[in-house]
Amino acid sequence: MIAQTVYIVDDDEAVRSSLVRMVSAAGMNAVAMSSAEEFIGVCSARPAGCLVLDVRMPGMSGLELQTYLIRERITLPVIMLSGHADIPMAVEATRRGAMDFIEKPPEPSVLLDRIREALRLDLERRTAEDDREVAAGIIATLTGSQRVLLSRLVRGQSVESVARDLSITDTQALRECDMLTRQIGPNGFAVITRVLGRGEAVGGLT
Amino acid sequence: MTLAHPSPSPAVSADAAQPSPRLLLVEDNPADFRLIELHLREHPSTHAAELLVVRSLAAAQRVLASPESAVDLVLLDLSLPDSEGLETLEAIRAAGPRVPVVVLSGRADEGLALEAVRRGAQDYLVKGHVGADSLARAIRYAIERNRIEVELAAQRKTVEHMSRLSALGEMAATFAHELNQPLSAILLSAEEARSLVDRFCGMEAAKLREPLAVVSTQARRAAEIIRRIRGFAARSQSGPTLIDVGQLIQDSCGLMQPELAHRRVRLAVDAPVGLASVQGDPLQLRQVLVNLLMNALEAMERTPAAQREVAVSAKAMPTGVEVAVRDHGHGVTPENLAGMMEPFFTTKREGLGLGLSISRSIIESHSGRLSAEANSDGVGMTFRFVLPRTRRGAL
Repeated sequence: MIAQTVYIVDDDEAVRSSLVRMVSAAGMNAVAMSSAEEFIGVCSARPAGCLVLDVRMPGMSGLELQTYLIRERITLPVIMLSGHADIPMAVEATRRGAMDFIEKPPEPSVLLDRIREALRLDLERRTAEDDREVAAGIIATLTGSQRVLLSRLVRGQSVESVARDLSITDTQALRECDMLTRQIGPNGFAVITRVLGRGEAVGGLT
Repeated sequence: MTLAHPSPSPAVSADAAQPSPRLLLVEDNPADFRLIELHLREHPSTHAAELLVVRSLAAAQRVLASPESAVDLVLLDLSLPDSEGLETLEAIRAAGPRVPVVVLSGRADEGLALEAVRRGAQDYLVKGHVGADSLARAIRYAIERNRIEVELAAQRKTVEHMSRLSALGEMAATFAHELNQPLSAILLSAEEARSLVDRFCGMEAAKLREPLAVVSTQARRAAEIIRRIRGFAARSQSGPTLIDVGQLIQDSCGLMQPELAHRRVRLAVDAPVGLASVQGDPLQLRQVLVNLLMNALEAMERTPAAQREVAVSAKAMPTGVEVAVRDHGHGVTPENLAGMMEPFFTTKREGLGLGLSISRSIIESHSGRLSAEANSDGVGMTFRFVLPRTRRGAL
């Protein structure tokens, strides 16, 4: 699992460094940047962690950075910090998926809680994404009839009932199951079951 | 708009049903004041007038200075034993700046008449050329004209005051971001220092806890002051929307939860969602509710914990919805009740005195009215406002 990072973007040096110290002291990994542009420069395609973002900065604003992330499909949870009790802006940011909008000066314990929450959300999202990728990769290696078999098995159908449905003997069905299991491994089964259990479709299976 | 009027008697209007005016006649010549009195008694609109007669400027000044005198108009002879000419007029105007003056002069001098009016006299009548009708008319018009002038002046003053205040608010908004940056660093660092003390330091260093707590608390307080001032500029930034009053109240009360818990105040809310909708700015209206709730909490600081309760209710009325915030606090004195909604009026040690005046102007801009009254059981106060119900198709 990739380590998560709390990205802190604020143009004010004093705020930035005190945020970094607070996050580090709480045992999390913090990286600070003084502008949205700088963040874009170092941000990987799939960053792990969350973003603590000042709304008002010279150059690209926090809202503009948020728009950029959405366009680039970077699903990093965003906590906006604002020096203004700017409700319309907060509404706009939240509508676009900002997880939180916190007024400055932030209450340290509240901000830490929200950051932890954001990291949890990020982990969940990325686990789900990883699962989906792994599942899609496995399913791509299967034949058509194996997929049919798999979809029935993950739904909890018994080998006997699968054999009946597919008009094959129990022995044939057992052999097929055995082969499938060997091919994708018990972990593959677990991942695919998790993905489908979340109601997501993957590799043509639902 | 309600204005402080110098006299407690109802404002005099030009219609026939006006109450009898209270007149102060400043005249040292007995023959002249008998004549004036006769004229007054002769005319239906002045025959019941209450007439106070004094013979010197000094006596007139004493009457005008006394708050009980409640004079509606001064009939002034410019030549008195202790004063002469336009100086008499100026002295009277200074003693009662809001009381209209009609000059009674022995001299048919047009230049003098013009100068008297320029210096604030409502009219200039020449003795011997005045009949009962013209005197009555002059008195009536003078009182009415003066009433309008006083009202306009007060309105202008309020407008000026408000624009000064909103300039202040805008300035605060401009600097709020700048100020909140250092405050953020202060608050975060103070809290960090506190946790470092807790983790690493021994007994001696524990003494740092208290001063660090002061730093945090005061940073929060500074932020709160900025928030209050900024409330002004935040106005009218969002457009009007359809607001569920019950929801608005629930939301506002939600904002107050930490404060309620901290002050151990019980909150009783009787405002069902779906009761009524109004059109307005949710941000502004929430600010009003938060202001009223905050006032209620602060008024109960010395109330025994068992009786600390705020009740917020919404009631549907034929024309709109009435919202009431009732506390069990110390209430206000009758003198303070009158002025409490004026800008910069405060009885709090840390207040800016803007909360109620902002709230009132927000409610007024929503075509509503904010009022305050002492509770009938003698404990605490109730603030009420009525917002007109949204007409169908208004949105």
